[in-house]
Amino acid sequence: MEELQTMTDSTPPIAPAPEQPLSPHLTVYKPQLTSVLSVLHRATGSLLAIGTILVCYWLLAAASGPESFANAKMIFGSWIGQLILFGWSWAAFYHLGNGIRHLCWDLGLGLELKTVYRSGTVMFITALLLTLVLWGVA
Amino acid sequence: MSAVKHWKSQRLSAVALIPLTLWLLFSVATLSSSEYEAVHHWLTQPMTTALLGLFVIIAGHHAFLGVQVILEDYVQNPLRRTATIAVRLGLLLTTVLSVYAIYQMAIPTTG
Repeated sequence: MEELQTMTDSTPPIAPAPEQPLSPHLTVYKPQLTSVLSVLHRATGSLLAIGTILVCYWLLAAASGPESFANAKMIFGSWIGQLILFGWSWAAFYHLGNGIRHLCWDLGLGLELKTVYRSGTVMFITALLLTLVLWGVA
Repeated sequence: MSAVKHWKSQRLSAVALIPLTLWLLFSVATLSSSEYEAVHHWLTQPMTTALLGLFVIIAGHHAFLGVQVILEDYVQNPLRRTATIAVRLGLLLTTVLSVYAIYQMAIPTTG
């Protein structure tokens, strides 16, 4: 107890916590499959976060009645609307697929470098295929 | 929220969103060429109300947790604090409005 007391006494006053360091800048990081897929995970995640506005708008339009729903249908049906929806559905499949990889890593699975590359390639192709299947269904 | 809670919450919501997102994407895709009546009919089904309600709430939460981490990694204070609050409010707004729309369609209108 006494020892502890002297120890705390001799400890210098706590310095203000330094600002948390930021991540390395993307522009100076050499792109590799692993880093590109990781950056894309965050990019698609951010896009999907913005996409909640579209879901919200579509639901409000449907709740407001046939006229506003027809308006929303026209906007989403335009070429730019379709392009956004196509990109958005790909972003969703990509983020979902890569999210599963992250969940596996959290369980300690597939962490060998070879497996990481293979699962990345498989996931990327699967996300593209699922997007095409989805638009084939539509 | 503590770091451990944040970590767990992000992963639990991710797991829940896997089936919900697949269900939503394929449901909406099959409805894409349908007219208002068919879409509205689907949106008033109790199953749709429940799953869609879960989706917008969990997705909004998951989106906030994710964007928060990105801001922590790339944005320095004091801008980070402002940006985090803005994202939280924005996502809260879209979630509340979405739930409101789902609820309004779920309850039959009177008069």
